Amino acid sequence: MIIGVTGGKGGTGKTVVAVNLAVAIAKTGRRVTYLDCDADCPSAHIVMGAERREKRRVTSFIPHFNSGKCRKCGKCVKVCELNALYQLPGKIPTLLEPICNGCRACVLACPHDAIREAEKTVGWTYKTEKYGVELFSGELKPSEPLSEKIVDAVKIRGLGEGRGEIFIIDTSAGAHCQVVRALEGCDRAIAVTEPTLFGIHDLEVIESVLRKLRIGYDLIVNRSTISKRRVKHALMQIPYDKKMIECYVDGVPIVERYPGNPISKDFSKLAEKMVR
Amino acid sequence: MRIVVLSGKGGTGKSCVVSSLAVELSKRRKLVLVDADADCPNQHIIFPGRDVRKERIYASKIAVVDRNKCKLCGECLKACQFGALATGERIEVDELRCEGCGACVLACPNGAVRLAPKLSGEMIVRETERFPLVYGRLLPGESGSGRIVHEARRIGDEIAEERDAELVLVDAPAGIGCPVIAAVAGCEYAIGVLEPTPAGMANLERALQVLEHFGIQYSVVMNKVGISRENERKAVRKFGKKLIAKIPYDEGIPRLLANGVPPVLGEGKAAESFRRLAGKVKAIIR
Repeated sequence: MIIGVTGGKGGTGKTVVAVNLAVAIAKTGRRVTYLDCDADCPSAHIVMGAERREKRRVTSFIPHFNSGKCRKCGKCVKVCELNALYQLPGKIPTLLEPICNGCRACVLACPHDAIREAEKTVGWTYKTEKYGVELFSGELKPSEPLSEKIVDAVKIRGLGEGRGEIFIIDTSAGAHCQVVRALEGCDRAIAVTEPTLFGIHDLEVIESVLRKLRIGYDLIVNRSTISKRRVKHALMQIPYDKKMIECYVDGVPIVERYPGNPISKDFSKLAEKMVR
Repeated sequence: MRIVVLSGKGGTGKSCVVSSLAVELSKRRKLVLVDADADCPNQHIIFPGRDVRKERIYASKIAVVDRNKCKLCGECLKACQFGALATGERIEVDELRCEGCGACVLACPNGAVRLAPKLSGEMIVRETERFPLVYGRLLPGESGSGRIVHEARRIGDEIAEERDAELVLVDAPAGIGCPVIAAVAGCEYAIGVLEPTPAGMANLERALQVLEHFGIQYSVVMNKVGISRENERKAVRKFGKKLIAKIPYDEGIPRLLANGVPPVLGEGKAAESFRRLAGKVKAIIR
């Protein structure tokens, strides 16, 4: 089973929920694999206090021009939808590397076979393990815009190498392509929100993404006691608790440090329900 | 001058800082506020007003296959680098995966594929009590987030020029990827909002690396001060003079935001520290 954890708004507690749930599931004896698909700002390893290992590079195609073969016809420049190529009159085209998304349309357009395959590094993937949870995570290289390539790489590596019976996929904030990439293929999702105007507004956005992807979902309300607003039909309501902040700051899941805390007990109950 | 507020990690208090700065700075000067979080825009919830202009944004394109011309040869599938095409009785285009790059158009030997413009979302200009607000709204799940932000930024600059506003304040989305790059591009100054937690620090640093790549000067504001002494000390050591303000953790802030009130209009220490922050920013603008 693959469960996506998302939420729309940033900082609602997606990662904290996903990590505690994963650790609680591991405690039931099931194998859990966690994929941190927040390529922009990976933090599951920080919340777990785990060191990332087994670093692998993620690359993307970029064109390299063979100066002997290029006739400077400009066809590649014309087909590039992202305008990643420009050409000064009579010169070989120049690539604006960060803009290129590796679509290879330039290769197909070139009538002279003058474009050779080259690559750029767009980020990295990692693998580690802590509290019985196998963790794969990705990291976008700062200044690169291709977050979704890292998400794909984490999923390919994690779903391929991971030995979990249950996979948990943690998405980034927002509702654009990289969140969609992370959620694709999930059997079910958990949307983590908070009872603020922003939390509720952004939840509606992510709900429409989940409906579009036809993924059924449950809600978890974090910091449920910070306002009078009530979000109904939630799988779990997590009250505001300073212990949660302490655990977050120290990089230890609450289910690990305070197993007797009501929040930890709720995570355990939820984990048991899920593995049944 | 264009100032962007960003943080890498989500939920550190960007919108809170931006809304407070916008209120304070607009008292003595004209400004334009741009909400560059097209995925989950929030400033329009804080600042009510009249939406005076709405534009549909066709930021990307999508492959369209002509069934009459398609011979199901599969060349387009081989050319697609994004796994957006699938074959069966006919070629299906996955609209969420298609990047609109046109590789399939070039690969098709039968001229059966073309690119069509695709609606990515909308860009809205709102007149609020204090200043014009430009915000974008991405259709949920679409890929044109960066281009909507780019468009919102462009319109923001245009309005600033028309109205002789000296300041454009940009609220960046969470993350460091494509829409964040679109939000920071062309800004002269940036303010990083730091949450003094390990994840907050690590991810602000990633955002600052993006700024350094683009050569944008920045200052750092520490928000939620009081949640971790240890990390606060680390941040002070790390950022030194770049750290221009500390906003205390105040349980009243979520309540104010929950009701759509910029925290600077609240009472107590936090509101005061937002006013002090605005003072520092005024000095930077000069």
